[in-house]
Amino acid sequence: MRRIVLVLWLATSFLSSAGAQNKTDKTPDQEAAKKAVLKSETLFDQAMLANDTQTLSGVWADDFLYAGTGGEILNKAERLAQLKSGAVKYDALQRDDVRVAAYEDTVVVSGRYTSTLLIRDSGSWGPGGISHLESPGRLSGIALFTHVYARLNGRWQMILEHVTYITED
Amino acid sequence: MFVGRFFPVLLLAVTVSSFAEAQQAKTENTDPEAIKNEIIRLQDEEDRALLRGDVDTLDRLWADQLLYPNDNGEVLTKAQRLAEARSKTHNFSVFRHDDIRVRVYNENTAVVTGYSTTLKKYKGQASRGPRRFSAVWVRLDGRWQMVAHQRTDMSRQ
Repeated sequence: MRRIVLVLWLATSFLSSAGAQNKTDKTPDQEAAKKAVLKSETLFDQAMLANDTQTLSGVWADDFLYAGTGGEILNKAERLAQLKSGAVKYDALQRDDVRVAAYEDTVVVSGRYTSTLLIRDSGSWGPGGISHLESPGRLSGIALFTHVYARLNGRWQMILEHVTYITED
Repeated sequence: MFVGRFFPVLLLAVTVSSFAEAQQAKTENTDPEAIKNEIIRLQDEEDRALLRGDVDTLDRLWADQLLYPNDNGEVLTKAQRLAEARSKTHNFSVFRHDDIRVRVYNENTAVVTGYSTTLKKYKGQASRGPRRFSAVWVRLDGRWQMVAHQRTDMSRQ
């Protein structure tokens, strides 16, 4: 009887620990997710600098949301239109203190951007406008960002970008 | 010999374990509307816990890998956020959230956006915003947990 109990206990412990690890621990799948997302992040930075809206459109999910530095919320079409208008162009973009957390169907990337923006025409910023970008010229500053990716139809796509300026010159 | 003798016991253990896992999956509601309601309920629970300084509830609601970019340009971890709650570095007095929207992206991922005029003190400095915030919730081990939160104080931008 004691042997039976021991075998039962060993079997259930093994099975439940295998199930739990699948969800929260570092699994090869989550490491692969991080790798795929960081590749998208590099593409994203390059596309922002080149104002390459076609690549950005591929990185962003159809239900992508942008929470901008002025507190505005834009959907994918609005954010693409904003960048396509050429009103603002990223001249420099450098990231540091980047943290990545991977889950089963979600990856979160947070960190700091040091960026320089060239503001050509603040009038075409779009919905809501952005109060601190009202005068044409160059704006440099440090911003915090959160990028969230979800696995949608088998592909990692950015569903949220939230950016907050900490300092600006 | 050993395997043969204990095979029925092992078989029983595997069956029980698979049944339990299937039951858990069954109880994990994947209906987007149900998920939205659940996330709104959890957001409210977090607000109340922040107001009371209820660290145990916050510990349960926040994922271990929580990422929390704050107003001072730092990306705080769960341990740092809990330490702030314990030491009352971050004090909330009146909660007010508007324009709350929940978007469900897959059965394990939901994003909340909203507008906050919550009255709070951070390191002794009072503010009321307004702030734009986003919060990301992920279902982990059958339970929704907050994995990221960021806000933009529009009065400082």
